[in-house]
Amino acid sequence: MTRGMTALRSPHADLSDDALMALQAEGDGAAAAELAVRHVPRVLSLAQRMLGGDRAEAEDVAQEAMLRLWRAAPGWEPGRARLSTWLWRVAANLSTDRLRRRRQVALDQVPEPEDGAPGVVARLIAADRLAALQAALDALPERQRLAVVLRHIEGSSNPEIAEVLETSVEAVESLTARGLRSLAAALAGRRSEVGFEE
Amino acid sequence: MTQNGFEKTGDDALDAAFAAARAARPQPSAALMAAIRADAAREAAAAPRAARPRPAPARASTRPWAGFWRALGGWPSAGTLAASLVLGIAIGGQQAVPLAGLDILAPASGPLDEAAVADLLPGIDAFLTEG
Repeated sequence: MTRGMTALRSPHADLSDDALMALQAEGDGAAAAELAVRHVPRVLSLAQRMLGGDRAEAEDVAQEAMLRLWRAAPGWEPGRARLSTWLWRVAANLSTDRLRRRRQVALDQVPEPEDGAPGVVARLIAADRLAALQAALDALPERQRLAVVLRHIEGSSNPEIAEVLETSVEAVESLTARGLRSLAAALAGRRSEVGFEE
Repeated sequence: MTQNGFEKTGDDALDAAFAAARAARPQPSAALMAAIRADAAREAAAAPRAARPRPAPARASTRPWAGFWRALGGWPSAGTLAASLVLGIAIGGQQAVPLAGLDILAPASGPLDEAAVADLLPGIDAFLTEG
């Protein structure tokens, strides 16, 4: 649910994540709702990209990551960790665990584009690009994939990614650069399929 | 270099694919959000009371004699100490009673002479003369 889907502005919309965690620990449902609105979309997006586009598994990961957040609320120390980074790390670890359980993801599990809708050609092209990107992402080592998704799809900064991966900024830059080279090579072989034929 | 806040890769195909991925970010369903809120309510209700914020411990006193008072043991020990003090004063205030048979130790005048000491300690002469 996005902010646009909420009929009314949350009474806690102006509070910090840390303040909302303290309220959640006291059982304030509105605080939990605000935290969910802020963070679930990006956690879900990250999990879906990490899990080969599997929506159902991504939702499981998002719910499990948020459950761990609720359990952490009573002992949450304000200022100690950025909540978004904490959640991304949990979601990344949960996704990695699932990937290790099912190593191979079939390409035919990538959602098919819907037919008959306006702009179907454009959507097909976009869907093909997404499918090609997802396939290329799936072929990357997990840490490269996570760094690339966080940097280029979720828009995170390198220091944030370094926190998630528990490594240095220089290591993140190296992971991202290697990931991009692999992705570029993979997409170059599929230019005609994804609408980049010149 | 950034585009709409996102870094460009320098590869058109990659940049287009990333843009498509950003535009197609999945949105959580109402059912997922409801399940997540239900989890939050359940976890908050089940949180152990010990994990809830506890009353702050009594603020430490800054009075200089507070440490001494604690070292004494507080009010219970102070009561015992006071009772002992009163008893000691009462005993000490009683008029002294001379001990019978020791009058010789307190002659009416002048220090004890050697003869008196010799009577009290018959072996003292030998001890003193053997050097």
